[in-house]
Amino acid sequence: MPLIRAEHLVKEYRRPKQAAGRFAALRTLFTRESVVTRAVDGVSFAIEEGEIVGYLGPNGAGKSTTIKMLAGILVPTDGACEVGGIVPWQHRSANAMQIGVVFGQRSQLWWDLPLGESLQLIGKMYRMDAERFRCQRDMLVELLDMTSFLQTPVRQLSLGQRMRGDLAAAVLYEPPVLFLDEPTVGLDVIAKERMRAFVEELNRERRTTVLLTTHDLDDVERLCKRIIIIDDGRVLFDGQAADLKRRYAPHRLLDVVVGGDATGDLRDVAAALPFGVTPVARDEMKATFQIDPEVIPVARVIADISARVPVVDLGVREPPLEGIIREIYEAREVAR
Amino acid sequence: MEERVVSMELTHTLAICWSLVRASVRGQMQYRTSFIMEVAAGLAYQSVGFLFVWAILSRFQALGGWTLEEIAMLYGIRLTAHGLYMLFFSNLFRIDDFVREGGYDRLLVRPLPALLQLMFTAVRVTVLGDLIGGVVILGAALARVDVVWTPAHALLLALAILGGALIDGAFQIGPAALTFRFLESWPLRVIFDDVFSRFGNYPTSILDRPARNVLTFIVPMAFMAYLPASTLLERETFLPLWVGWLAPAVGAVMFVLALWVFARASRGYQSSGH
Amino acid sequence: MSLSLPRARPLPTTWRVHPGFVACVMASIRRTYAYRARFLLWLTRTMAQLYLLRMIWMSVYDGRDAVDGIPAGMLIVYLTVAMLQEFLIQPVIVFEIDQRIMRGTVATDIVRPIGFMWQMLGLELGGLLGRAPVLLLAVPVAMVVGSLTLPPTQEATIGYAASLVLAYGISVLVWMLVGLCSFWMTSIHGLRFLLFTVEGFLAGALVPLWFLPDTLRTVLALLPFQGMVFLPISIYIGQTTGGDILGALAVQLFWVVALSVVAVLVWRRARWKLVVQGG
Repeated sequence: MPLIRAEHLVKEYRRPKQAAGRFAALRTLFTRESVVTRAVDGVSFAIEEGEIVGYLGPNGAGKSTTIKMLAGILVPTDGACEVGGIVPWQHRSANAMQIGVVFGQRSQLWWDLPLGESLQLIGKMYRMDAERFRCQRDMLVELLDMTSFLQTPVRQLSLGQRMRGDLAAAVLYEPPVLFLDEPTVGLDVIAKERMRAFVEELNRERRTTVLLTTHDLDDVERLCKRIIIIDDGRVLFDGQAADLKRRYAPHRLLDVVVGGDATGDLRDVAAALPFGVTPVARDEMKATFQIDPEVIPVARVIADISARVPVVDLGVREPPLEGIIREIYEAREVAR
Repeated sequence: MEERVVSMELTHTLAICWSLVRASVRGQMQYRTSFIMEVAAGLAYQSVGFLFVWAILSRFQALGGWTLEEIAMLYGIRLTAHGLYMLFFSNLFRIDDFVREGGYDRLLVRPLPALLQLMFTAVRVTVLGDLIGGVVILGAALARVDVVWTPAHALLLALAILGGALIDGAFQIGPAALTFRFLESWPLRVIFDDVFSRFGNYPTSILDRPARNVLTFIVPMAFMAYLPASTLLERETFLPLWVGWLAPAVGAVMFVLALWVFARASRGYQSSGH
Repeated sequence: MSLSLPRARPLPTTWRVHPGFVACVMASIRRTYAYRARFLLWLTRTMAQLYLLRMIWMSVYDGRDAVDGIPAGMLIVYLTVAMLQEFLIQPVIVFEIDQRIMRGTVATDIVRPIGFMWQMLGLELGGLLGRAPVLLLAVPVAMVVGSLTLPPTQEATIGYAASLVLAYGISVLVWMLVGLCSFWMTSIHGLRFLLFTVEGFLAGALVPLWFLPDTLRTVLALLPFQGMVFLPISIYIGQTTGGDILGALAVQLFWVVALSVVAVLVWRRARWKLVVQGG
């Protein structure tokens, strides 16, 4: 029984057609024509408990609209959705008790109050008894390293501190479902990593189901086994990240670092590569090669190159999702 | 869209509202100087309003047949009712910006009716100025006015204040629903607030007939203070004397209607941003 | 609204109007028409206010033709002219100046080739010129409705014209002083609101000063506000005549001079504070 379910979800926005010409503003008020945009156009997916799913798409694809319908903020125009067996827009409060939401752009905390008081208010709002609240709060404060700014008013916190606070607020009452909408936007590298580690731990310890919207593909690489790609309100891809890579970019990347005075040798190697290997990047001491494993095994290439140049360091990696996703956005259709 | 509130839910909801109020007051108290300034400004505004009445009535003994004490009672009832409304709903004032900036989303994600959250976060403590002004004027008036104070009359006074607050509320919450559709409702809200503040403190009888009828039967401003006050003073109005007792009922009906309109409109909430 | 300097326009007189000044005026005129919704709202509220005042006063007069020698009709004219005048000479910069200081644009303003004070004056004047055509529309309407009549004598007309100019001067100076307070206070919002509220009453726009109790009247006579409404309009309706007109003008002139001196001193201090302390 999937925890989060969307079936042919549709959300239309109706805006009055903007009249042009004289007195445009006034005429718009009296116009009968509306422009209908379908922000979400028949989205379906099912997410099981314990999954971390990346929800990707270009701006305006309909990601936030979908999340808002699952959170009970918007009422769908058509189709159905369910979270934990509850229809979000019909039983908004009941749904609210079982979800945690972090909006990257806006804080959920009380602006003028110290962080600690915000957490207390949330504890009360979600009917946590004192014992459980204290226990959860202390754990989160330690895990997210918030002791130093617990008493600071939220408006005085840095972005990283505030995001940690928002995250704590979202999981304080142990909701089974977590919606993260661009949670790492604007954070520095360390903060991003800390956030990702936290979400990963949450998923591991509590089997929290996470739906993550992001533009940062490092988030996805790190956390999501499953990816749903959406554009123009429609699902383009729904499957394992590994499948996506295999289908779209089955090659491997080999990074080679040479030592000593082998400067000329790397150039020679690049000029005379076996079939199925193409150079991607090269400078004096380092080079990256793209290998098609169907044509030539990676091990063979490694052996070949090691024989010709004094290799100091070497690494094999999968292609980054970045390129794949970009291609998909551009192609706008994936053959299943 | 909102589920019905069972009695245990009600207690919890009240407890949470109280926590929110306390939190928001604490938040406000941080800006001490502007807080004092605003309360002072509010009180000054009330004072000037009443100063005008006093100035006129010290030269002319009666306004539409009402003496200074009687007008003061009417003034006090309306002001106290307004202050009572503001105490709970002053935050509604900023709903346009709030919805436009996406703050409303934040409320919908929480397990509490959105309207309650709107009411109790960011309580502007400065509205106490209105309430204090109203109570002071009313108190001073009650000491001097010529009313037979039976328990029934005391009850009428209390109900009139409650009814006035409900009417005031109805004509702010109802128009606020427009924000969900048009992202803006302040012109309408300001107009109603203006009409009530301006005309509501005086006997509706001084207006000419068309205005008087509109402000009694269409927008029931006369029920906010004038009609109940007339009943208390046993003054003849163009309606029978017992009509003053209808004030709380009128208020309740209008208020419930406004809540319904608001709930209905929020279903069409399109959520701006993104 | 950017203040880009146009080409200097030489006037056929001994002095040239500074192009920067003209630019400020033009920008301010344009801005008046930008806020249409707010203007319409103001219009509705003012008409409601006028209506209420009229009802209150009619009720107080209680059918009498005149009270204290003031006929009912004259009182209505007084109130109407007060409203129209308030619209015409309403302040502009007091709503601008704290924004400019908060945003720091005041630093660039000071560096411009013309003085800050002249810029502010330009904005005020622009506002006035922007509103004047609207007023010209309102006057015939008010006359048709019966609320407005022309001054009864030539003396009243000339006297009023002079008095109006002085009234405008007093208004600009008073509000400029309030605006200058933003150099010392974080928010003049409260002060502004306070003054807005009491000014109408103190100036005699709600209750003409003849009707006030003596003590109150004496106090108000010592304040500049009466020069903004009561004095000029009293001349208009013909209540102040002959030598009294000159007396009223003298009082107004006194306030214009006194407030100008104060304004210059305060501005010097404010500029020093800005330059030395960085605002």
